[in-house]
Amino acid sequence: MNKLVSLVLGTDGQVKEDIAAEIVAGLSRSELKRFLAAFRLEMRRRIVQVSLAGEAGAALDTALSRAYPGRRLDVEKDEALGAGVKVSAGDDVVDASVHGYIREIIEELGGT
Amino acid sequence: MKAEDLVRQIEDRLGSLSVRPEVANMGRVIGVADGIVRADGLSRAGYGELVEFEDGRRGLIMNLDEDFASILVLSEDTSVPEGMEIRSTGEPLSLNVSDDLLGRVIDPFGTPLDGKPLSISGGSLISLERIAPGVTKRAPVDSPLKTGVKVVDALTPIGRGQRQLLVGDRNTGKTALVIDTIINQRSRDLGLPQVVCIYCAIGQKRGSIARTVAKFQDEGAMGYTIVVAASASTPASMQYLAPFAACAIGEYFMEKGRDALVVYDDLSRHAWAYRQISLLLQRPAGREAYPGDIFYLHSRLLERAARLSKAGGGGSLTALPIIQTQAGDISAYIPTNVISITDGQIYLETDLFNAGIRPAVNAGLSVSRVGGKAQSKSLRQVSGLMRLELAQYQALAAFSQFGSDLDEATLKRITRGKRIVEVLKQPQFSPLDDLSQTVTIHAAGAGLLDDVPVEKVAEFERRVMDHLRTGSAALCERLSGGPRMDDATVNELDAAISELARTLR
Repeated sequence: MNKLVSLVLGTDGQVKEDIAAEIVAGLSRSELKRFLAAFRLEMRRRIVQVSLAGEAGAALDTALSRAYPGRRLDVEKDEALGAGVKVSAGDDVVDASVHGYIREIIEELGGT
Repeated sequence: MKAEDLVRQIEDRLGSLSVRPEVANMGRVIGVADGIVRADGLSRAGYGELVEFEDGRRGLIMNLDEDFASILVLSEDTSVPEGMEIRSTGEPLSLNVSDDLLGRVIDPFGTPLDGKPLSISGGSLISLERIAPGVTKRAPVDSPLKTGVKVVDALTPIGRGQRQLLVGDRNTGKTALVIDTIINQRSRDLGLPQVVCIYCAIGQKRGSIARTVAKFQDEGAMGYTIVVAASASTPASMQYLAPFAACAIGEYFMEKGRDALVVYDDLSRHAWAYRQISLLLQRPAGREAYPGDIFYLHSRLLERAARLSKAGGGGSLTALPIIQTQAGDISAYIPTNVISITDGQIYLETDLFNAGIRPAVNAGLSVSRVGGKAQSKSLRQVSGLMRLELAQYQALAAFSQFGSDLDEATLKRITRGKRIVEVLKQPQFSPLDDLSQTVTIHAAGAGLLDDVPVEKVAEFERRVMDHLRTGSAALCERLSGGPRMDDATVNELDAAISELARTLR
C-alpha cells in the first residue's frame, strides 16, 4: 500500500491523476480502505500543520522550512492558543504556545 | 507561617518551574476491544512504553505492528472512545516505592486499597520490568528464611534469595503455608535480620484477600508487610502487572541491603491473565492456548530473586511462587515450567490433607536445591537422619496393615515412621522457632519417641520445650544459635528428652 501511495503522490507531492483513477477503479473495497488509511498517513507525514495565534512572519516561515525541508506548510490561525505556535508534523507535536505553557504548569503543580 | 512567607514560597515554586516547548509523539485511537486499544501514529513509541490518554488514563504498549500499536489500558475502566489522542511518554511503567508502603494494601500502580491516604516521600521510581541482577552481583544463598513450619524447615529448607515453589491442588493449604511464613518473620528467629514481606494476591476473591490482610493484622505482621492486590474483578492487565509490581517493591528493599520475601499467590492465575491478554492481542496460541513467551514471562519474574554480594549491599529477595494444579497433575504446562525455573518445590497433596496430615507436604516429591546450605547446623544434623527414616517408612507404609506378620526390624521402622509423620504435623498459625524444631525432629528421628503412643506425640511436643527450659536451661542456651551438636551435647539432649518421653508411655 505504501508503494501505491508513493506512486500516486510522486516526489513532488502532486497527485498523479491517471494512476489515482486506475487505483480507485482497480482496488476492491477492503483494499481501498487500506489505501485510504495509508494515503492519510502519508499526507500527515508530508504536510506540516502550523497553528498560530498571531500573524505569520517571514522569520517563522524560514525557520519552519529549515526544520522541515521539502514539506508543505499548512498555516492556520488559532486564537485559542493565546500566543505562540503549535506545529504538528506526522506524529510529532511541538507545542510552544501560551496554552501549552499553562497546561504544563498545571501538570507540574500536580493539578488537573 | 506568616502570609508573606507563604506568598514567597509559592512564588519560588512558580519561579523554579522549567517550562520548555513540549515535544510529543502523538497517536489516535482507531479501535477498542476488551481492554486493548489499537492506535495509529505513535511512530517513535517503543515496546513496553507507557502512554497517556487524553483523559489522563495510562496505557502500556504491548504490540507494535506496521500500521498500528496495541495498547493495554491500565485502569479499572477500560472504555476508551475512538479518536481519542494518545501521547507517548518515552518512559517504562514504574512504581514509586518507599518505606511508607509498609503496612499498606495497594494495587499494582501504587494506589492504596485500604481506604487510607498514602503519601510517598523520598521514594525511588522502580521500573516494573527490570533485568535480573547479573552473575557477578550475586552471592550464594547462605542464611535461612525460617518458615516456622517444621516439615518445610527440616525437609525443604528455604534460604534467603531462593525461589521455592508451592504447588498443589485447591484446598491443600498452600496459602496457609505462606501466611504462616509471613507471620513467623515477626519472631526474627536465630537473630537474623527482619524480612520485609510482600504478599501479592493475583486473581483472588476480594473476600479472601480481606481475610488474609485481617489475619496479618491480628498476628501483628502488617508492620513489615505490604500487600499488592489485583483481585478477580480487576481487568487482566492489572493481574498481569501485579507480580511485577510486587517484585519491584521487593527489589527496592533488596537494594537497600535488606532481606525481602515476595509471595506470588498464585502464578497459575497470572498465566491465565497473560493468556487472555495474548489471545486478545492475537498473538499465536501454543500449548493449552498459552502464548509462546509464557515461560519467559515467569522466568524473567523469578530470576529477579537474588542474594546480592557484599559489594552490592548484601540484600536478598526470596520468591515463593504458588501454582495451583488440577487433580494433582504436576506435569501440566505451567507447573512444569515453574518447577524448572525455581530452586525447588514443596508439593502439597489432597490425600495427605484429608488424612489429617497438615501441612500436607509430600516429602518424596518436595525438594529444595539450595536451601540445605542455609539451614542452621543443628537442624541440618537432625533432619538428615529423620529424612532417611521417613523415606524408609514410606517405602514400607503399605505393609503396615499386615502388622502381625512382619519381622521386628520392619515393625520398628513403621513404629518410628508413624511418630515422625506425627511430629511433622503442625497446626496453622503456630510457627515454631529453630530450637523447638531441632528438638522435636531429633526426638522422632533418633527413635526417642518409639515408646510414646502416637496419640501422645502432640502432648510431648507441647511439653518438651518447657521441660528443657526448666530442666536443662544451659543446654537450651547452648543450642539457641543452631550450632552443630557434638556427641556429648546429643547425649545430654537425649537424656533430657527421654526423661519426658518416659512419663508419657
